[in-house]
Amino acid sequence: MPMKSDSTIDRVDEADSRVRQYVAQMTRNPRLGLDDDIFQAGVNSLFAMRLILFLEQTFQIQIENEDLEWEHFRTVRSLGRLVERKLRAPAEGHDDGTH
Amino acid sequence: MTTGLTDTQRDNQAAFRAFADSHVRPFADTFDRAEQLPRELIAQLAATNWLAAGFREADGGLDPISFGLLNEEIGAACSSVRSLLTVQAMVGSALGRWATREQQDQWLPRLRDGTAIGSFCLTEPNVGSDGKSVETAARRRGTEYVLDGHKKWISFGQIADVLLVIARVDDRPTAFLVDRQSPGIDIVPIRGLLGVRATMLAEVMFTECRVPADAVVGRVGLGFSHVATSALDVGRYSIAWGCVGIAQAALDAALQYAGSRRQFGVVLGEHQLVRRLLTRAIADVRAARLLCLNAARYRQEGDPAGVLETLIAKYFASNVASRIASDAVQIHGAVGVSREAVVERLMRDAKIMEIVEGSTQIQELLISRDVLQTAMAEATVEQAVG
Repeated sequence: MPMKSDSTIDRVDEADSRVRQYVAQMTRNPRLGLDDDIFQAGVNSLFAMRLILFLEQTFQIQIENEDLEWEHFRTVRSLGRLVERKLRAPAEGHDDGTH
Repeated sequence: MTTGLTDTQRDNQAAFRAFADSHVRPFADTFDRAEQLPRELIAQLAATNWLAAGFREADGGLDPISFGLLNEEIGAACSSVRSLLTVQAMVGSALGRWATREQQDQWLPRLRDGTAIGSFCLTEPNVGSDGKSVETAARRRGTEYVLDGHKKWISFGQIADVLLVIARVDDRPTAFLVDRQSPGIDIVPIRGLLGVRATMLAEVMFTECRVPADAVVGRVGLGFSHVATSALDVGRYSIAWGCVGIAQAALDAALQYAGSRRQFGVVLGEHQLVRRLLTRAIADVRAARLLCLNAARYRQEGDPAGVLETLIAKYFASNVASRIASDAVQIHGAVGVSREAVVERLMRDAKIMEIVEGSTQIQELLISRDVLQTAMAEATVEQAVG
């Protein structure tokens, strides 16, 4: 279950930088930009699964069926927005779909 | 022989072993000769709730270590039965993660209680290791997709009720949840395999097979990258532990034979070259189990590093299982190549483990590439920061 606490704001701010750091390492591209297409950078067949596990473990969120849109995973910035939405969702009274 | 287990995990292990001893081991040779598992056994497994053991814990699955121990204990008795657990886990865990609530409500309870058997339909006559290149096509037609294609080497395809099918929507690999009763599906049994002969393999032909549009699992285009890879990850983990079971069973048989068979006035175990084979097997079984436990701990934490550790565990365990089973046959001599000895079946089953869920050669490519990429990335970062 996601931990929605006072740390949420800090973790939202961290989202872009943490995601960028991880994806840059996985794609061997230290100059990866926030809006660069991640999957054009050359990733192996295990990357998507590891990226999802990284997001879930780092931010204590659950990536679910309704999150599975290519646009969410295309760039560091879009991933950051996905994380932000998942972190903020219960505080705004939204159903985060956890079951 | 496994340290660091919780009391629950130890109790689970004991229960798994008791079930294997009473319901599986005595009949494994019969399953192998008949090339099928009886429905009665599937019902017995369902009654234990272990058909769902590999599901996500939120969906009723066991913790990763307990699931691993289940695969080891059942795998030591019969790899075909363990394969049933593997396939249920692959389909159930993929649905638990990526299916809609409606798809989950329709199939997870049935997969859990054994009223539905799942099959993972990726491999084709022209597509094995290169899973992204599936040729089975899915054409959108109004509110339906129409599937045409040919899957092969599908475990439990002969009795599956629901098929998780990877097909191509234009050029985009997509996962579909297909009811076996859908029109346009033909099942042809595959018999005469070298090993795991009771896994009831089949060819599955789709001819103008119509499925509703909401049969897509996940999203169009994410069928391989997300759905299939997560199912294969669970399958690799299950098989890695199953290989520890094969290896342990082969070692146990070799120890028993080496301790009783006498040649040249002494038991075989007194001969140095036999001891060498035994020592290598003893160390390798422990090493394989430790690699599986290592993978389990990463998986328990949801750590992405668990993906690589699972690959390594499957790679190592499948290779040592094959080598130990072969050495066990060697130690048994003539009886080892006959049906009088369990090692004969273990060797045949072990060979299959070097091929399924990523062959040894594919694992070697993936593991070395992954670790090399990480090393190169770290070197690049160091250079960038001066």
